[in-house]
Amino acid sequence: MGGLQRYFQDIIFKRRKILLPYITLGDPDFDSCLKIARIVAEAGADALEIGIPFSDPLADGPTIQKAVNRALKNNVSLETGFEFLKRFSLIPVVFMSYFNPLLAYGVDRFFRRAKRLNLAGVVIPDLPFEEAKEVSILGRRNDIAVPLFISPTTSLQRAKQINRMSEGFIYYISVTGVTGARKKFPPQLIYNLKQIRKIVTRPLCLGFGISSPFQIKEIKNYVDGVIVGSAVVKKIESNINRKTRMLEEIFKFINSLRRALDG
Amino acid sequence: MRKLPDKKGYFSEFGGRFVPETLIYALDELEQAYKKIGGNRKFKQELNYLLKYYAGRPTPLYHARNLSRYLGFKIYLKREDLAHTGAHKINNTLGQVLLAKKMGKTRIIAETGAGQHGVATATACALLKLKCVVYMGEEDVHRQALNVFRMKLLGAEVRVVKSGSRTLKDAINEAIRDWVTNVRDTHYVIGSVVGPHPYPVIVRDFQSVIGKETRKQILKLESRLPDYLIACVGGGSNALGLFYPFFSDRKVKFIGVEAGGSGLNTSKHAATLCKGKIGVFHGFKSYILQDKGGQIHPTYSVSAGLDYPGVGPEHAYYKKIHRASYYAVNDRWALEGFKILSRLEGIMPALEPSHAIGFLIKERKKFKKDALVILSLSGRGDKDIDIVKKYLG
Repeated sequence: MGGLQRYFQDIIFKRRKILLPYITLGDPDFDSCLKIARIVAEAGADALEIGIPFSDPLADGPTIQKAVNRALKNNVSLETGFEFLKRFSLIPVVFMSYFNPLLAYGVDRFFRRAKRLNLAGVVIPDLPFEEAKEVSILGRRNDIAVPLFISPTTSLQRAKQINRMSEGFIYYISVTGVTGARKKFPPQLIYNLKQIRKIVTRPLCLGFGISSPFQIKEIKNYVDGVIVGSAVVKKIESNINRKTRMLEEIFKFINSLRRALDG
Repeated sequence: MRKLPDKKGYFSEFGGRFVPETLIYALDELEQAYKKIGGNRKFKQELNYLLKYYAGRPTPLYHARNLSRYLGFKIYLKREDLAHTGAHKINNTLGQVLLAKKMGKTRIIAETGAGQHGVATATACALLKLKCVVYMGEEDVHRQALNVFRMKLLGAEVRVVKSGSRTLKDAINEAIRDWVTNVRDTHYVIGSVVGPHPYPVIVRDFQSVIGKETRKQILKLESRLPDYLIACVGGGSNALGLFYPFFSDRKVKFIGVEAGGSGLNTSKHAATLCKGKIGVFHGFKSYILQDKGGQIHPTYSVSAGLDYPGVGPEHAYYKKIHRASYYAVNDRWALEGFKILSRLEGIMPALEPSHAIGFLIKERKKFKKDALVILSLSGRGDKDIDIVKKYLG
């Protein structure tokens, strides 16, 4: 078991739930992004997922697409991600990157560099189980978790194999679809979670479509943690010219999620 | 050799399945259905019937005498422009939509660049009574307004894509996002030999009718195989459809012509095999036009159908093993090709195959006098008249 998973298991052992918010690297700019990350940590996040901008984010909905466009205007790249790691160490950081930027950098080179900068994990949305073997091995060798996804369309047989290869946690996708805040979960979600619970031995984190403390209360007993992305990014988007208010709102929001998980 | 791709969908190092987990089940389902239904005799009979009586196949293999005289060697045109809807795209959409119907899917989505694949998909859906949504980049909607109207007349819903570079690649992103959301009842009809496995195989197989017919026709007409097959390459479906049935005929040389846009020394082109680097995009590994950091390059070509930063994995493989050679010609040569074929033969080609014609004109001195060349005339030029008018008018 690697570092990130041990850290998460520890949280679970203490009967707490994992809160893993997502923001896009360099959105709206590098310095603000660092400030947001610090606020997110202070407000009670256990780890931070930070998205490496990619020109064609095909698993992302409109909110994160817009964030990625804002970030790409600032010439953000993997290199910027390493810079971020040097400047931020309050809580463990997990990268979210599409596969091509990693390939272009060199997957092996990426892991060696990221290890020196204490990256905790990397989530790759377009790298399914069949293609993930090599990357998983490199991740294990460098103690960087490569969590894999399970979705509502994954068969239980397949979920078992994914659970075995995944490291750090399992990223369970609540709906068939792209990322984006949604008001309600699909009706069969809790049934799905109960089924998947029987199989998954890694920390089980639920993502896609979580936007409120209310939703968290609905599902928290069936998972080990939650990933909240678009709902956080929306706070950035709607306060783009009011940085102080942006930070305040993000703090309040993350804190409300924390309390919903703890309460 | 013939067993490629392997079980995981690889042609040597190219291909594979790089998609979100949610889509894996749909790809598995499609692969199994294609094996089971696609291989069965009744399906083949049904498809062949449609190809013959509905799409007008076989398309003629036409000896272009005037063009031959002009070029200095013998050239035949495989007249895909005479297929129903005016391009080779119908071969694939009839196959895929029929397959989707047998699979019990009720909704079809597609992406389109030039609009030809969109029109062909909308046509197949009208015929087979399935709901159809076509994604098209805003830029292309303007460039190919006539095809947008055609699709609507055929009962399809056209969704304008305003993200990214607003061209074909962004239309594919949006189609994939739709698919990942509606995966249970929707089949995504990809228009070229790209995308995650099994798409490159399925599209190749459905387009292979081009090469199979050509092979029979040329043997009948000339009692020998051609020296060269030439076709334009965007994603690469008409080229692969022509090449693939000749794969084992080692003496038949394959030439693929990419869109050189404003020139390969500029950033404004779409010459993926000539200038790209290996990467992963839209679910498959192949040559990709990208920057150092792995961001996908915006592409440019006068022809919307070639305006794509990726290329089918099997083409990447043909390049690697030197089975095919790939070149690029600029917009200027494509327009020259358009002009010459219109004047000499009374055939207005689409701007996509105009690139292949332009290449032959440009390089005509390099072919021997007794060379026998077959060019895939993948589509007709009506859709491009406005653009050509702007340049030549």
